[in-house]
Amino acid sequence: MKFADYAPQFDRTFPLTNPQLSWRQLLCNPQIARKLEQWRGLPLREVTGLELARAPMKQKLSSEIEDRIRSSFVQGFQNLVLWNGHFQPGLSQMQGPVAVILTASADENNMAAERVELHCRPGEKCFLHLLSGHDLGHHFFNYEIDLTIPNQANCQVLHSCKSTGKASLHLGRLAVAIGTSASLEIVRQQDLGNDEFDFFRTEISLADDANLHHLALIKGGQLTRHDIELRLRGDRSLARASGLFRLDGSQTCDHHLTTHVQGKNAVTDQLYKGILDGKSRGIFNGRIVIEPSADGASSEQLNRNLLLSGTAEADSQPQLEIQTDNVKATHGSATGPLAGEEIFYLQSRGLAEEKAKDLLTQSFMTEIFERIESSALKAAARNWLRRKDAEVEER
Amino acid sequence: MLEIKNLKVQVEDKEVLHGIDLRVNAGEVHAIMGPNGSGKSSLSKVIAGHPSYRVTEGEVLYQINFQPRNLLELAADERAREGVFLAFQYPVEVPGLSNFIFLRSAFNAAMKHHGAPEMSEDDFRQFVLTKMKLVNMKEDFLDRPVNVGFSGGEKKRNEILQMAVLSPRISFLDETDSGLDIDSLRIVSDGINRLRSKKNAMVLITHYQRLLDYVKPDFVHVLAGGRIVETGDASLALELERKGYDWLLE
Repeated sequence: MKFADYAPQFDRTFPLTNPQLSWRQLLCNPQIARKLEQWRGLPLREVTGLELARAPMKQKLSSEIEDRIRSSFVQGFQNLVLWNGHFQPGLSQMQGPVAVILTASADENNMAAERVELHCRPGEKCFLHLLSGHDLGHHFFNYEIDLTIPNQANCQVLHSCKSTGKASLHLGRLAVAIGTSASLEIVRQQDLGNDEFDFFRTEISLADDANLHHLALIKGGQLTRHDIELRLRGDRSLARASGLFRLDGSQTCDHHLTTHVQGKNAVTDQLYKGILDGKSRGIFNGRIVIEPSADGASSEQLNRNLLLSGTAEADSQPQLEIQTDNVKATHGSATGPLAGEEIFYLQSRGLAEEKAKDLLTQSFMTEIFERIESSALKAAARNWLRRKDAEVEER
Repeated sequence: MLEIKNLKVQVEDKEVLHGIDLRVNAGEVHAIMGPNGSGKSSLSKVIAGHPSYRVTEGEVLYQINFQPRNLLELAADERAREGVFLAFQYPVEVPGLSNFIFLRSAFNAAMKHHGAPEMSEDDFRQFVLTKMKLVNMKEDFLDRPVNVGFSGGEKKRNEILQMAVLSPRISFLDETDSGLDIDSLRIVSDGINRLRSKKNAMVLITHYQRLLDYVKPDFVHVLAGGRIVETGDASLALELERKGYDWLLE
């Protein structure tokens, strides 16, 4: 069955609690969505034409797959597994500082999403590893995760999205509420195959004095769309948002970031970078809205893209909407190839042109990794990068 | 060691060097002086292999394994691995690339080229720390991005550090003294003097006599209008300081 044929069912059953109009548009009528501004430029025809089966009812995983999943666990973190569209309590580490409640199971007979609620226990430092993925080809999976971080809690989250590389469609949503004076650092690292489609939505709200760093690392997938909505509701809340996509071949990645700054003296600082090779296409669409209540707010947004080939394309749309006075806001965008003078400088020290370009590309990414405060998350992100480099060298 | 013969060079279809002849032997220090826009920096960049410059005539013979080889046939990185070094007038900033990784990558590229084993991270750190003392640089510069946030003097010292680490056979130092205060000039000059040996050669490109007070040249050349118009010993630089360049250009 083609994905487009499932579309009418989404309207009734896909239980997005706070869907943006654009998601409804895509899920309910993907044929029409292709023409709308929110989805312009994305090769949605490839999605709507996909032959996909619904995720099957929950089945026991083979011991080989279980071993592979366990080998991806991160030491010192509470590892929770969503595999083949279902939460896997048997594989997950249920005992830990994060309480887990499975609120709805995906159903083979309708479009219901697997829904999991996660609650950090007050006063505890939480290290959480969410591992989502699949080993089935030509299926679509949908899941939703609600994460609550109570007042004054501190939480570090690594969300790894993996697969075996078979063509599939992932629909996911993560909603996070960060309490007063609580902090969250979250790294979502995507590691999908070249034939996969990933549509993910992140919604995060911050209370007074809450602190967030969200980093999205994307390197796989034929088409990736990541919608991020940040709401700085609280006074003095701080949200740093970062992203890095590294694309080649005919991959497309679309970062769609909307930030509502509502609290007094709230601060947001955003840096998104893209590295594009081959005929890949990277889109950054970042909109910051500083609302009338956000007196004394400040925001910075920067998008930088590195084009490694003459056929790669970057579309950048930083947008700023200021609805009050007494704010400080900057935004900018820069796209271009590696600087010839930098390449020559490295070559003049004996580094071959390819090695020079490789070092400069690595350097371009360094700034993103330096933004990670947690040493454990930084190590995980660097591992992700090393795996990508190994893939490039193999090719 | 290096012989430049009738070198003519264009950049963006405009000829900037109109036939340069210069011979540099091992153990020698040459100074090239000249008015602004005379082609001094172009000459150094052509020797280092900058892709913006097009050689239209002439050759640059360089001894590799005791045989003269036309340097112009080699890519910039191959020249560097064979011991040609350019200290930049404006050292390039490379955000995100630590000085340590940069230096070690360059050093190990040369080691590999010469069939020697690469140096481990720990051994290289010890090695480079001894070299940093030559130019009075602190260890924390190693972990900072290349030239980012460095003062003008620190950038020039970093160039000499790279020279010390790579031990080139011939070095072109393009206005290494520009923008340096008196103390930095002395530190950089001391570093250059310590790297001077009978096995290597240096070509100092400068506007001022003051660098030559510290680093005594064997030959001084005046480059004007894309040609070498005068050659002499160290006393020529003193004469230029007194009289300027006009008397040579008439």
